[in-house]
Amino acid sequence: MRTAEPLARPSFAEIAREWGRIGCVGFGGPPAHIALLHQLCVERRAWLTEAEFERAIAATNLLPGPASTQLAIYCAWRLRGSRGAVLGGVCFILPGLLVILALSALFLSGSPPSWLRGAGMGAGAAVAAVALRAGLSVARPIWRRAHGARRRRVLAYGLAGAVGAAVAGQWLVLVLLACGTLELAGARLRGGAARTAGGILFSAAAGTHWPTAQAGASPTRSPAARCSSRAPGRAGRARSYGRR
Amino acid sequence: MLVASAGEGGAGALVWTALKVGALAFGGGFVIVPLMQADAASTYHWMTHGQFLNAVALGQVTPGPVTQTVAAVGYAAGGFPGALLAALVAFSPSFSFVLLGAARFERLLVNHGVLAFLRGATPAAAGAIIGSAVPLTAALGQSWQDAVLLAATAALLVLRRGVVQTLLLAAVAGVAAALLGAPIPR
Repeated sequence: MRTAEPLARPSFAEIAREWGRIGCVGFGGPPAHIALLHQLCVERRAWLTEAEFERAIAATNLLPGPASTQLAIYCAWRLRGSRGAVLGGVCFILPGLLVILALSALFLSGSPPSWLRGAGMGAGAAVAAVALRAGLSVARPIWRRAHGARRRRVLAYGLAGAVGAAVAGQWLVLVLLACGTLELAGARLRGGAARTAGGILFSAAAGTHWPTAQAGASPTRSPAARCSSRAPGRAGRARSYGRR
Repeated sequence: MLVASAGEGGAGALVWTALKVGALAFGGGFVIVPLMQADAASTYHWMTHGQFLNAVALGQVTPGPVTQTVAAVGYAAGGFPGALLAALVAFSPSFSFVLLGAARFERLLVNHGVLAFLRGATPAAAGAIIGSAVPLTAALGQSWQDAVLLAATAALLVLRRGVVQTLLLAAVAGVAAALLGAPIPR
């Protein structure tokens, strides 16, 4: 939903040039892409407002797949519709793709010289450390926000994911889906229980002539209230993700 | 032709691996690594574990989306056609989500089901990324690489250096090791 029209609509040539530029200079993964898109769309050209951009980050973070690529495609869509989305997305992806194809041909086929194989083995040796840092940076804010029973569930899901990746990588996607489904089912059950408890409270209140406002002041908030109160938190996390 | 050239498992296996990366990877870009490693190196043997480490490092030090690492895996499975197929399959869901659903994106922010699902899947993904360090470490074949890993861990977690900088320094260390006569198997 648009809250404001962009100040000026870029041409397709501008989309190709700017999204292609970010594809060329976007070293450093999603945080770098988000920062470059923000610089372009919000700070330099004012095509999107700060709030629109933040909601776009938060929404694309909820989708599976590469969030910063989806953000790049979505920003182009906001500015020039479907054709802009395809053009912007392709121009964003293509430079890095061409580089990685050339490097793959160099490293993975034929017999590269020993110094080049050494470079690959050296960089490859550091990959486990990169994984550790990437995982910790995702895990830390989740752990800090969780308390009580939620923290125990977070630990269980994290352990399931870690064990899945360490010993059953082929089935990892099922582990991720199972953890998501379990939490969803639990939320539905808790929501149902809360509604039932609310109903009982309400009946009791009506039967004993308590003020009906008390029923509304049930300690357990409705799923809608809980979710809507969490949405800004997610947007906040997306912002910090962009700065990581 | 592609089916014949897409290594063990055929094009179907490559498409499934790329689809997991593009449409089923929840919670952080690096989760694609554990999602791909078992398929690429253990199950279908498109590449050795050492080559997989190379591919991940390439994906990290090149510009643009990290997901393009899948193109290196596709290249190992079936040359350039394999790389293009893998990239096409991995990025198509992102285009589809925007082209078919962008108008409803912001409703996701208050969708109870989506938010609840991600409250389970995202911690699991974080755990998976941390857990992936186990097979990534096990893939190291030379003892000098263990020293590089130790130094990289200190650089990233203690000294808070950047990922690209650390990987490039590790690559320089690898070149030095090769020039000094350390074992560099083919």
